[in-house]
Amino acid sequence: MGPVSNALYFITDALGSLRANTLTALFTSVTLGFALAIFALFALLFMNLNFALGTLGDRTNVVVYFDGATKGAEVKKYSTLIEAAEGVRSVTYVSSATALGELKSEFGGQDLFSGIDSAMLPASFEVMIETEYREPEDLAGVVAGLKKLKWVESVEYSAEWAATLSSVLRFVEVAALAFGLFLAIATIFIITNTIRLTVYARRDEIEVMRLVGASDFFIKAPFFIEGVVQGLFGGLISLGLLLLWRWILAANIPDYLSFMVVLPASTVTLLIILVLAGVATGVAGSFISMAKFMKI
Amino acid sequence: MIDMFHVSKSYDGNTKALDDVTIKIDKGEFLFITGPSGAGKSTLLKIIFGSESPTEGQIIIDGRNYYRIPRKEIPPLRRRIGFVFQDFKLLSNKTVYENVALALNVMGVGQREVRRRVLRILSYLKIQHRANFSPMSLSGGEQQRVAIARALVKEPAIILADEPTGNLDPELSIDTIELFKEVNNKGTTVIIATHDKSLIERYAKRTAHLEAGRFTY
Repeated sequence: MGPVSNALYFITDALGSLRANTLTALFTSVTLGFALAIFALFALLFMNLNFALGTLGDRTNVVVYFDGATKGAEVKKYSTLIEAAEGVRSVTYVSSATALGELKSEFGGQDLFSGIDSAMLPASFEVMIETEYREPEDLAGVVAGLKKLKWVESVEYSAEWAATLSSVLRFVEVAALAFGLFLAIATIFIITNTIRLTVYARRDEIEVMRLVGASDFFIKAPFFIEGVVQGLFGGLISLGLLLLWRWILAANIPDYLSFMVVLPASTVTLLIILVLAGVATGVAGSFISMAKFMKI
Repeated sequence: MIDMFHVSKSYDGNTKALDDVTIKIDKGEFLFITGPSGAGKSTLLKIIFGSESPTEGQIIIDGRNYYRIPRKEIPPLRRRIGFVFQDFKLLSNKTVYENVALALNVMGVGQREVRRRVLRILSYLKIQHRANFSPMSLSGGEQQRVAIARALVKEPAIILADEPTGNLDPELSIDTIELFKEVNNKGTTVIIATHDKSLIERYAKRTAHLEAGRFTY
């Protein structure tokens, strides 16, 4: 038997055995689908939450005030110097007039500030900080660097905000890691045991194959193919479940939480990821479960 | 062809199934291994088959020492040996044809050749009309024939049969042994473990008697 007819034999054998054990195979695929969907939903919620918290970091603003009246050319020069400083992502120049405009819009009306001259408000640079410099100690370092510029009068930032955000992010990461690990272990446990049941049901077949002189490869190949097919269906089921759960969640959560159920990728990308994860889990589950019975 | 030197096999360190067994079995020989239940007949066959390894002693098959045989060398050995199990070991979820074909499939024989050889052996054993049945729907005698067909279809150099007549009536028992004789006449070495004295007396073949794990001859 050449490699092609060998492969044909294995595929025929695997499909025949899936047909003969349709219910068990279906049960395995559905279990795999649910386990993957739960994990994927968790990953989706965590990614969105993490992203949302990350955008909060953009509020880690540092405001640089400088000395005296500045002309256009100086603003450009100062802006370039600040941008070149370590940990700075971007710089926005806020003129006195802009500052007054912002103040007015924050208070919702112009009457309150009608007598105020814009020159009373100092011009400044609003500095956005790189994500990796948002930890309190790093941020303090960036501020110290900015203060060294000789034309800088003062630098203001919220150390408290940076500290709070940093601790919240750390907590979310640790909690997600712990829960994700727990979920991953539970998923592997459920899938391995489900597949083990199906392999156990066919231990006689494995034993007889060994007794008639089948090599390990010959015994494993059909199980490998079955693992692929079950994983494929498991992946498809998990995508269906994920989209369904997301739809139910989206319809039932308040608008301000809708960012939590935004899909991070297209449906096709998700399909590819989940099917690949399903196939990998199905095959790994088959092999782990078979190891015990291969000793017969 | 098969040489066993001072082979012993014990389970759990003390129960001795075989005790210092030495025997030489020539190519093309027909041998009865006799003895009461628990004498070690099945253990002896399993050691030749490679499904048990001896605790002590050496076993040489075709000049190759199979003492503590490496795992990967067991399948090729088993493809050269046809084993008829006492409990048949047929797969209920496969047809008679598929059960017999399995022995050739594991050897990598092409499907056309598999079909030709399986149908020929089923016809030879007069069970071709049962090819598409599940073995479980067959009588004990028919199941026995399917098990024999699976052992013979690969045209092995050695046939091992563990109490092949244990579940059969006297008439079928004689038919079965006649079948093994036919195979033996074509040059295959046949080793049959049985406690059926009437069969041994009927056929004037070499007999080795086991008693509590030892040959008494």
